[in-house]
Amino acid sequence: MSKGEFAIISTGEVACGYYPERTHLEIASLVGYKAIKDAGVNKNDIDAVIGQMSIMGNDYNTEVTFGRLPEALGLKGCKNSQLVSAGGGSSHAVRKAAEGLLGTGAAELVLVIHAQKFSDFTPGQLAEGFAKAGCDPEWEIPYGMNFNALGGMIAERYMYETGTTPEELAAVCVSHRKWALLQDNSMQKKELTIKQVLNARMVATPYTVYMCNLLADGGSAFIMTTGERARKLVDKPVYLLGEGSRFSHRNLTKAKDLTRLVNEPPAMDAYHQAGLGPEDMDIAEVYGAYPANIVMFFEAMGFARRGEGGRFFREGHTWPGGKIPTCTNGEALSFGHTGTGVGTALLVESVRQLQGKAGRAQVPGARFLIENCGGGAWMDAHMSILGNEIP
Amino acid sequence: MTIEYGKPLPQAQKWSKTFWEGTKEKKLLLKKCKTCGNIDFPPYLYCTECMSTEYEWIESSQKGTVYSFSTTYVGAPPAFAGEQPYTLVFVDLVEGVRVLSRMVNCDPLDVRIGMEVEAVFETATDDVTLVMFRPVNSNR
Repeated sequence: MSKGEFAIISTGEVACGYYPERTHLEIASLVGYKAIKDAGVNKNDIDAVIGQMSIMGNDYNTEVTFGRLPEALGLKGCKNSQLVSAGGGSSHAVRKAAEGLLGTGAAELVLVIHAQKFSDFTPGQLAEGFAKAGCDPEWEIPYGMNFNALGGMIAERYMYETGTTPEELAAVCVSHRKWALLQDNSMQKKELTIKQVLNARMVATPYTVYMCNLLADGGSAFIMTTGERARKLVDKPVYLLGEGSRFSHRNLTKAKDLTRLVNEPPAMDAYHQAGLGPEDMDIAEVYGAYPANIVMFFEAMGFARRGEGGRFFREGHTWPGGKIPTCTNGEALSFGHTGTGVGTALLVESVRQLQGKAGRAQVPGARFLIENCGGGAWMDAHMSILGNEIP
Repeated sequence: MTIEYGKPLPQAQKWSKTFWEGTKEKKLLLKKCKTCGNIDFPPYLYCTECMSTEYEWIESSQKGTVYSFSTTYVGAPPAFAGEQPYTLVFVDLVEGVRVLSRMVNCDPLDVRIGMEVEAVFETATDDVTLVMFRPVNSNR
């Protein structure tokens, strides 16, 4: 991908939360419909559909694999249909798949759709499903390893090495919640305080229930094309300006440094390609799913020195109206965790912000931002710079 | 036995069977490359550093330090719900590899990063013995 070669022209999203009456295909259809309407294109001009894999929903994945989306959406000009997954890193993987189609001329307009329905499962099934997503079946799961513990172990080590306090980690949840209150589609609708976060029921030390993400039904979609074509189709295309990626591990025991993981090198790569730096960013859309990861990645993006990110959140610099608005949809912790779709929701929110369509959460005059994603037990890190102009 | 156990058991790969045979004899075996000396944990088909297929199983000292930990109070997978709270630990073995395990013989509130620990072998079924860790000098 070269700077500005590809762009996203539209988005679609549904409310995130507990919606047992809404099926997987209904979510996918709704977000697809919205993304097409938002772009103002003829549905039959969409010549490729990428379904992002649902983390739990084998029947839906099978349906998508075998062409349900282009048929249900009536995409008469569709030439390519596929299912793509890299877990939580999927919002990057789907872009790469779309770039492949667009860059080789196999497609001109690519519709990407994510849908997730967790309300089909019991809490126990979800705990088991997520353990498998993040933990090794031979070496970890037999010991009772679970996803919240993965996050907790990172947090304990991060606090030990940097002196970051539980209050500072709780401040991340509070900052997220302030943004979620400005989002019509977010799952959480009530104010939150640091005291509430820390006094809540302990789940996996040091994380209380408010510090663990909320599994939710939801979905989002976007349409991607070349930068050149995007300019002809919409007033404000959002360009992909720079990116960086690293793979680190499957088992968290193989991550060399739990308190850094591998986020700084790809962030620097992304800035370098875009020809921009942290000081040029109007927004940080950080996907970490747990407070310590969010602070760590925020630091890797260059917004605070190591160990000072937590204080930054606590001082309110990440809030609406703050120095660097962060996670403007409320992220997994407040908007809701839709499996592989957390990064996709942040990407969709990124596009809305840069198109001036973010409603009450709109950061005035936003031009550039950084967003990230990663899958499994933070197995990889993908950083991207987006902008509504090519600098 | 397996049915009574009721929790997920490790399904050994061809290259890890020796490890699980070792735990039944209270040995913590590590797969060491004969060409470059790298220890792979978890073990894989070949040495993940140099691709050599020449290896030997060495006996670990069974000692290490806690790199990090987390105590699960709620939300464990159903098979482990009855054991809550329990403390998961990352242990850096003296041999230089990190393993994930469970802390035993220690109050969850007493677990600390840097704590010295040693392996304890806990029989799960006739076929499987798991490796847990306890504080060094704990009498058990």
